[in-house]
Amino acid sequence: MIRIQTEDISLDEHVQRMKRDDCGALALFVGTVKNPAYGAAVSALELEAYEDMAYRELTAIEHEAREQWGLADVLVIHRVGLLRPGDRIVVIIAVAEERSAACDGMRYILEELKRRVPLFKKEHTDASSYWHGE
Amino acid sequence: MRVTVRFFAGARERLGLSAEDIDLPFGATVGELILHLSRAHGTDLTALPLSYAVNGAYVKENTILKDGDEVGVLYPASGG
Repeated sequence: MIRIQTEDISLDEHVQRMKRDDCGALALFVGTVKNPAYGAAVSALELEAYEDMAYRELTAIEHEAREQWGLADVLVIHRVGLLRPGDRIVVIIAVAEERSAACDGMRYILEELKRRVPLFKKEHTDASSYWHGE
Repeated sequence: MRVTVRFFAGARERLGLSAEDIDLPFGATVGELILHLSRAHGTDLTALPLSYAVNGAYVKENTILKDGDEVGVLYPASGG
């Protein structure tokens, strides 16, 4: 399942729903808004997506991970909008028969998401506001 | 020909708009579109850390546009 949403993400709900008797591993990643970041106090993080393209890229990444690691199920939920320190930004779950496949597949999805999915962050700190990459 | 340009992140903020339809000569490239937009808006978009997509796929500046294309003017991916 792939979703981009403004609402918070329920970990319990998704972990319970995705557990499978025929799989021995469920790898979970939760990305949160950190404070401070790069030496400055963060008051908020603004997230924006090019949604059509982001869904397409995430779907491609999911297929790649399923194929390479034989994942039984995948979940990626990424939030957009204005978030505060401690808020969840992204949750990734990969389910597989064995732990190495679940962990490696989950890590691949995370790294590819950061590298190629058109999601953009604006950091609001006490000193300034800037988009990542500026 | 006419293309639809969608602006994101710092590009959207700098121009003060999310999308715009632009008429271009046939054979125009993404790079030429960006120069056209910079002149039209009086903002040097080439100074920004931009990347580009056409119809949802990343492309380079020398990509030739077609009538009806949707061009995404993007910042570096920074999700997660």
